[in-house]
Amino acid sequence: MIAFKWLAKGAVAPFTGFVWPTDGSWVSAPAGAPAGSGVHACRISQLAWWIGDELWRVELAGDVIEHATQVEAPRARLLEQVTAWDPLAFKQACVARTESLAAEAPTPELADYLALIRTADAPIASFVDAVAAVAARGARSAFEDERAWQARWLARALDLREG
Amino acid sequence: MSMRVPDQPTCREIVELVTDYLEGQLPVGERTLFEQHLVYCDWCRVYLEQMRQTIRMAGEVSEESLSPETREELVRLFRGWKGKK
Repeated sequence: MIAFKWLAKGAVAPFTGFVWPTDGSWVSAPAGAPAGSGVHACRISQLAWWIGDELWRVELAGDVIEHATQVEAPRARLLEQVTAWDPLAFKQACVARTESLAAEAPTPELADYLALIRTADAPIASFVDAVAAVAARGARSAFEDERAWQARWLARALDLREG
Repeated sequence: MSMRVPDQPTCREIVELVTDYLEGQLPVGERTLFEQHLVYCDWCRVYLEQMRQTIRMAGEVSEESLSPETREELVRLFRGWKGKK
């Protein structure tokens, strides 16, 4: 299965500090590791939850477990870095969305989110945009809806396809 | 500014869960929410890293590595702490 993985600069896993090999070598989760300890990656629709420094196209092998915001597999390897990933462009798209939301619901709360998002980096902007959507629309589901919109933006801007 | 965030853990909740996270004790769902919080929260990322460093450094200290004065001071502090409880 082809999926995507966010990493910190230098192909480093953001939570474990594991340095991923970039030569196409396979990486396996430890044998007998507890549930949830496999290699995590994203379908395109899940990308917005995990924004990071580098985006990589990955191949997953073995039984893939589907979670709400990620997928998990026993083995994976990096295929290629998505060099089109532009955090600034994504952040600007989130700012523009929040500007629309603030125009839709001109409240002090939305004005605060707008001020905050303009100073934020891409991961924070992604989150603030989703929070602003909830505030503007008054529905909890707006959070996931906004994440879905962000994922569609990423797929379009970066020309992403799952295999 | 506080944000109304549906179903997302607060920084205080993250702090309470740090030990379980580092020991691999969090259920998958909670761990996912924990890590999603780290994506957008610089403060919690820094706190987690400080905890990791503290554990690493504390693990390097053995009884033999302490000077007699330091050992005595630690025993004194421990007795004082126990006495207050």
